[in-house]
Amino acid sequence: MKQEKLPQGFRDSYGQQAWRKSKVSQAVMSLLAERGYTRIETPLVEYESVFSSYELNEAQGTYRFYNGKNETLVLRPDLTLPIARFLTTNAIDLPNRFCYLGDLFAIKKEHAGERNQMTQAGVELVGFASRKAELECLCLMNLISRQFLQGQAQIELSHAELVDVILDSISMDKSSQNTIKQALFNKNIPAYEACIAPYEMTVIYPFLQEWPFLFGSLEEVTSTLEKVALPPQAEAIIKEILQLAKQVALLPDQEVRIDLSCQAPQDYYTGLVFKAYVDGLSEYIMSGGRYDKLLANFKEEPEKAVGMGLDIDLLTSLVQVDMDADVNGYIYFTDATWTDALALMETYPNYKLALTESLEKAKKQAQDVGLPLLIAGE
Amino acid sequence: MLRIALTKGRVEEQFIPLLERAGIDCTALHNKKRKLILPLNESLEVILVKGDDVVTYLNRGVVDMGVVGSDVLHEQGHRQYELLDLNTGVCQFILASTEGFDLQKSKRLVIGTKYPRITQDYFGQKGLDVEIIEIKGSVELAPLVGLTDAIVDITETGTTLRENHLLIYDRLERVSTRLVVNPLALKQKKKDILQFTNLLKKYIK
Repeated sequence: MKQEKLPQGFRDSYGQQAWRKSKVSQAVMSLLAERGYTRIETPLVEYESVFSSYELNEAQGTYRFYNGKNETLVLRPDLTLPIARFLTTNAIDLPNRFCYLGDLFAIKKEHAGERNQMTQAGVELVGFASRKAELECLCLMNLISRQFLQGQAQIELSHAELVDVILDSISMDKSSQNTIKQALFNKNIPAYEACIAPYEMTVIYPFLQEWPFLFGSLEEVTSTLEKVALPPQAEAIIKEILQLAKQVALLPDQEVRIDLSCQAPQDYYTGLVFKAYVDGLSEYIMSGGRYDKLLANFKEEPEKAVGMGLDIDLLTSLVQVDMDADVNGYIYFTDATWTDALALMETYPNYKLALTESLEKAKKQAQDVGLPLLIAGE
Repeated sequence: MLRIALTKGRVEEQFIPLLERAGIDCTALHNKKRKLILPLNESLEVILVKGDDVVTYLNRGVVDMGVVGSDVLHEQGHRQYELLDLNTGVCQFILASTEGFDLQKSKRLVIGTKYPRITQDYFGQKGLDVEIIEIKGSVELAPLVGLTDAIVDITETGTTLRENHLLIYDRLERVSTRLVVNPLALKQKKKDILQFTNLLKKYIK
């Protein structure tokens, strides 16, 4: 027997599981269609150069191959950058709201239960400079949470530039900044404490001490911030996060969290960042934010943009989908009774054709599942 | 309820006294027999696993925290939050070889190690391209029998190196046991996790 194998990191989807994913994807895309989003479908394969300007995720590899003309192609590791490529090569009217559904690929650690192919749905709001675009994304996250997750998704807000702004305000060289930033992002507390020790006598030290733990509810973070002196350069960004958190808290059934010391999901984020998680899971189910330097239009003019992605595989694993097939019985037919079978199918739309060769087998099949059998021509 | 993946063996033996100093009853760990899941009290459960597996359990989110050596964490390129240095299992990564070894030799060096990533990082920072041979045990043997030019390994006292007439040519990073936490577990159980780590922090020697 042939022993074909599936590569590590990939999974087949079969039966109920495959139907569930399909139903969830359709429901998400219907939601986006109803809100007036324009759908974009980009190919699985792109030139490597589409992704090469950004360090997407250093822990992951990209599937690369040649096209026979000495050009390197990749299986897309991200869904936003192909849309960026699409907008610069097509004269599309902007501003506009786009939505997508598709698979992305990354080579992850083998034999660790990781997935190398993931399905993501998402939106890109291109050409919108105001915070209304962020609010639209956050409303969508709230709608998805309520429609699919019983309102259990908690939204976490942060800002891609906050950490750099604070570190720039402290006099230190770039190398020290990078060391402290890595320790902060990884919450490597022993290394972080060693990094901030030289600033013990400065006014900012109490803030630096609290910084890795400045995450949690709006009240929790606000209460800590009241006790420490903030770097003045950071005040505007923190105010922006807190103000947005108050607006998000007004959404129905919505818990909101803040994190002032986390890393943006991708290198290209430039502003507010939002992620959503569900208690008990170790992965974020939605994430997005503002990236004002990533997209450009057909005339190569930069376009301000906000986007959000949703992990369809994770959502499917959490959603209760009614998958009972609506079949009430079988219709048995032969070539001679095909016309009668067609008439029965019209009369009984929830009956399906019995595909067995003989009437005896059809009777047994119907009996086994406790459903009636109609015999065409009788 | 917090669930911790604890590295079996020496890390476990050194972690139990710390828990006990912090007032946590470890009877279940002392009397574990062959059990691998050990509830210590209503709010803390320990599972015993191999060091390399701690990161896998954490990445998959089936445990909230892990207790594991920094050598394992660095070698696996982990993405966990590192909240505490427990200051146990302290040792040192070293570059060692026989007498007369020259790091600046014009040829491409061959290095034996159990830790290819750490070795690659070390030589990469020095701008040197080396060939790495992964060796699972008794790494000291490799330069003695001519398999490699040198080794990158961990040493606590240096006794094994001395007994095998190997010299230390460079000291790399310090190794110790760390308490790490899954990033989203910290978000979801912040109060409990920080309460636990702050308690342990008081009793670290």
